Amino acid sequence: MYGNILRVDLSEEKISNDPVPKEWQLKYMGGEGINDKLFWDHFLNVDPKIDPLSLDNILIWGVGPLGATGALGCGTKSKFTFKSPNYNCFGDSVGGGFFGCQMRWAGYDNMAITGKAKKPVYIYINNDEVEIRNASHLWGKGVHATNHQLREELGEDFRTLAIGLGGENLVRFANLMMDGERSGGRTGGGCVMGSKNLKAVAVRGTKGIKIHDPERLLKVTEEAHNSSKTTGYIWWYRYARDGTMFLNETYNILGVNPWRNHQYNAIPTKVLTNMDSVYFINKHKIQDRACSAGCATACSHWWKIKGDESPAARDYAGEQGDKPEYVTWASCIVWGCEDMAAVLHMQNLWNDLQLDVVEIGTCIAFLMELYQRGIITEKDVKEWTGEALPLKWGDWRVVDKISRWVANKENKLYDILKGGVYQAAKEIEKLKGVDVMKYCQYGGKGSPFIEDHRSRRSWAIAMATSPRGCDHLKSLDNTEHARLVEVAKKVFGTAWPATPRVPYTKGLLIAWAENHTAAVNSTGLCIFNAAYWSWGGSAVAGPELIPEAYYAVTGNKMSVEEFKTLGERVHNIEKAFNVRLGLARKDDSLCYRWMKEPVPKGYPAEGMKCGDYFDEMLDEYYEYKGFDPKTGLQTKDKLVELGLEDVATVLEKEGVLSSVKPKPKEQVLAEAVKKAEKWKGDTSHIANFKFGIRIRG
Amino acid sequence: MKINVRVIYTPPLREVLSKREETVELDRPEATLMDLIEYLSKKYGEKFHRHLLDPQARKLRDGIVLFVNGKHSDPQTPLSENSEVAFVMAIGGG
Repeated sequence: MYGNILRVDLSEEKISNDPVPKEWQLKYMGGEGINDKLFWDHFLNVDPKIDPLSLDNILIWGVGPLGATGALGCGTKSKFTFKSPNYNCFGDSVGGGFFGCQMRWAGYDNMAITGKAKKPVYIYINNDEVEIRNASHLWGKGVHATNHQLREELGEDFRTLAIGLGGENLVRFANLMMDGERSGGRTGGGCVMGSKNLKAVAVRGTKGIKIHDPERLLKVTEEAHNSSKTTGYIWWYRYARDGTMFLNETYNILGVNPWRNHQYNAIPTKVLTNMDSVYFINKHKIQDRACSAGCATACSHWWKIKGDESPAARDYAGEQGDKPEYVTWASCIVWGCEDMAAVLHMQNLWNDLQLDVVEIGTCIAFLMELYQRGIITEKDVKEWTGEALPLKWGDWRVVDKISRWVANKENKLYDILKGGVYQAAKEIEKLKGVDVMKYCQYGGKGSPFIEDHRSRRSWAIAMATSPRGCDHLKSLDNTEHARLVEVAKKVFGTAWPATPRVPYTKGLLIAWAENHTAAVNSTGLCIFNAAYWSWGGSAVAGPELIPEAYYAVTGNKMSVEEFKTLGERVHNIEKAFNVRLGLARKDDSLCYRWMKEPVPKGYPAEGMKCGDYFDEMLDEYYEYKGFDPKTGLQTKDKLVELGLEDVATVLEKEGVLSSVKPKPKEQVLAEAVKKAEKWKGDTSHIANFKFGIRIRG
Repeated sequence: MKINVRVIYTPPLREVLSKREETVELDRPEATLMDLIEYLSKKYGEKFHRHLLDPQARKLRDGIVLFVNGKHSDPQTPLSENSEVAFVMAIGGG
């Protein structure tokens, strides 16, 4: 069953809660969906163009109704929604951990935090007891120490959402940290917490969640689990064993690893041998763990550095922590890291400082490429930091220093890097009077990402159109690069979306994937589990299981079609907020290197670049979405079809709604298939298994 | 006439078979990728085909990408002397 929406006004020190309205349950489900509804409504009374650090910004947390129930064995993910101080547009974040579970067990599905506390505070939640408490004694502490101290003071049953120095010092890409280890990354939610003088939320919940039909829930969960162990076996196996780190080798073959600031899309084999997931498991992994309640995969792993494994291990002997995701690993190879112990250390350090791994990794890689090219020198570094450091590829000690300087607001490097890599490039252009933007890697809204997109047509569009900026978690899809022919046929009735290199049908693939991802993120389940097991990874189970589980938990009936539409509705709210800020087609773009520089000779997918066919794919994406392809704006007809008449009214009043009649999806698909059938180019993805021999490290 | 084919294993097959790569000799000069898969299934048994083949659908698992000489290929792709074959479990995320 549903819980309540908790509202905390830090300025007025007011706390209230009210039930999730029935209409919202069916229209937005929960998690991302209801967060978005709360967010949209907030900015009807507040100018959307506010400074995201002003007290008028809102920070919303939510876990959908299936989260923390064990439903489908897919774990629990928290969603956060706010205006991003990093990209000055819609911001959201997702993360694991038991914090979200405790919130639900305390009776809350969503929490909306507004205003700004006069002094550092934390929110104390013990079931129905909610208080705003003094956090002066915690201010200045890192994430790990804050988490530890709060649990020592309040009891081990409490779980925390906390910030460290990054958030306190308003680093725009500071994360939201749960349980001390699990990051709500991207877009700077932790910075919003810091701007509100909110150090932490500590919660204990013992009320549990009432299940409408427990037997039915067990039955559908068993079905999902059996499917994962049979048809979806390979997906489950790899996640359970390696977590997302299994990607490092696969991506090296397919050309996705961002070696040395994306100058190359694969790392030398001799480096990979001591950096892959097998090495991690053999040398460092000590225990399997699930990051949240109800997860049957348990893709997290606890690790330890003994000290004799590698050169960096000597520096960081004795450290322990939670498993880095692929994204953390890639955020290290992007600055040329060649040592797994350095990756593990950065995972701990960046978590403690709450630095978003993608932003800090890309910022440092960007500086290193400028150093490689002689655009910045030791003299510049000395001027900015007081130390004449050479910025050599792979130097983890330099990375450690820079990370601390930025989070601690110690020197001018904080001013240069605090806004992320896109803002850093602008700052350095001002300081040096040289064009450096072509070495800066970013996608839509000036947001970087640490996967190279030139070898995958579909992901180029995904990185350009994501409403929160460039990354994979708004449209998680493997259809093209994993050649998921059965999935493509089931969803679209054709295998073309699963055919590499063919640009046609890739735009509509991402349009679909965005809707699907938003729907899954409204359930409260982990996107990796739910997407792979019940949809992307197995064409047998399909999305039917989620509405079935939803009924078993809440008693609300929802058809599969209604569930799919829900995702599209949610995505449209996020898009509409950005449209109100003036974002349009021009903002759905990618950086110079991805668009214009082909993959170098000898590397996987050599010669490919995102700029090829990009406009055609974007047209197709907009058309499948029901947007106006000329402007990228939403159309009145589509918003009305989705039941978002209120959103259409706002956009129309502000002059940012298109009156173009959208094409039916079936027509867009038929036209795309026709073009794909006429495609004369190569339909093979070119992998490269030998580049390690040819590439010099 | 026989042909020699180089097979590259990525995780998890690498761990299951304890091999990074090997050269396999096939009896048929006109062998296809499916012939190689059948050969390896016989050689390694359940531990090999459990990771590659869907027992219910009796076909390659969705998400297994086959490469011959670096190019996406199908089970029907012909092999020749010194062909380089790789089985990649290609899924994304992060």
